[in-house]
Amino acid sequence: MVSEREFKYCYDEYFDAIRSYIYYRSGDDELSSDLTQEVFLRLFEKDFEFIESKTKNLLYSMANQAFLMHLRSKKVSDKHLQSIEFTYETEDPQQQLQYAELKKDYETTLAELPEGQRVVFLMSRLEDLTYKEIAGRLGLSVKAVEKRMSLVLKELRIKLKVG
Amino acid sequence: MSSERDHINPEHQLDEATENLLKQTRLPFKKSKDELWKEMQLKMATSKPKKEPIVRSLSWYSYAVAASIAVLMVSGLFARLYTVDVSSFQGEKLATVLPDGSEVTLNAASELSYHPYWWWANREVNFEGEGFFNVEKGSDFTVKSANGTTTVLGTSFNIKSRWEGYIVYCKTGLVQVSNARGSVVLKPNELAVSMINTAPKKSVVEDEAPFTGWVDGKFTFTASPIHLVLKELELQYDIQFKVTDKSISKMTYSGYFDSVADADTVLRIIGQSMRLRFVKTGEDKYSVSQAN
Repeated sequence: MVSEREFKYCYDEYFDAIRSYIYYRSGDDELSSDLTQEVFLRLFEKDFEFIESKTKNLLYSMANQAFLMHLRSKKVSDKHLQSIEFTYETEDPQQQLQYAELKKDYETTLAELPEGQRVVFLMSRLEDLTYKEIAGRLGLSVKAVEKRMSLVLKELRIKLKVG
Repeated sequence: MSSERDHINPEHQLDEATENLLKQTRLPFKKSKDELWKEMQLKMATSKPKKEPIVRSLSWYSYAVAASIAVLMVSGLFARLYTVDVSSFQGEKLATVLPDGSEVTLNAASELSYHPYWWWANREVNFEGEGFFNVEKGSDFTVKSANGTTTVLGTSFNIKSRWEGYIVYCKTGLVQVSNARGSVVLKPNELAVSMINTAPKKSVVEDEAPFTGWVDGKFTFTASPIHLVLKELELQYDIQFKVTDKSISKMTYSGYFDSVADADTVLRIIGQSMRLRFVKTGEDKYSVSQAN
């Protein structure tokens, strides 16, 4: 059994990443928070030894399972996302205006993307992870990550009409 | 293209204005990480089943319960206060096993005490001197010294609580070192050094030999003040030095000795490399001066 202090360290290190990961897939704030809590509770009850990289990978795969279980229990056969939302952090009114214009197209485009592509893209843009790090977290090859990124960018360039 | 984004392949970037806009997007979570932690702590507490004692209201039964509670309290007090002391003399090194199977190797002139019957409730030892701890996984394991407290989150580490301060080296796992001034968490190959009046300071070390080598009898020094080296020799060989030449106090020593060799051999080697003269003045007594 892992000590509570060690567990708290784990929680502080990985909570945000795991919750974001579920959000990228679900676009649902409440669900992401609930499932992430569930994942960490299960980790707490588990007899795990804390090894930084190993524990991180374990958390991602537990989160993956928790999310798939959720889909199954809801009998959601259509994996298509209804919507995904972001908030925008700046005081600059001109930037806010520009973003407001872009926001709807951006969010719609992302929601319509295949889940795997969306996760890769958002991990790169919102968490500043390298392709290698993303590949490690998702159990993919770096080549596969690059391919997904190309597909997302192609789509975004068309839908957002930007360069 | 901003340079902080170079983890993204250039062909995977949109034009700069759009990238800058997207960079400011955040996920819209209503509850913070800390709020969710508080919620979760409740669930964590209830996820461990607690045993509630069942007390029946039969009169003869309640006497029995009262009597057993009294017995429990007395034995509880006994368990809380009963202490085992383990200490090593100068010139001696010893190993001991704690009730949970954790192993402690004590360097010379070190002392350890704990409550064996209270161990299940609280893994805590009082400790002075130098020791290498290899701790079994379990609840928090705390080592208290006059100079500071070390709480273990992982497995093995070395503590030195002596004249030069409080020095903790983490070999594996995670270790928390704290005193009244502050606290740090150590990962493997990290070192925390503190004095009575200073907060623990963390640094990374390349070589563990100076910190754990003594377990195998190897004493490594890198630019250590000579009086610390002499002090260590006194402890290891149960001998005493009398420094007759004040000028040597500024010297530092880099090198190592192996406590398998006898005192005279080790002193000859150190004497040669440092140009020091050790003269035997009595049973286990030496005077130290600069060689000409």
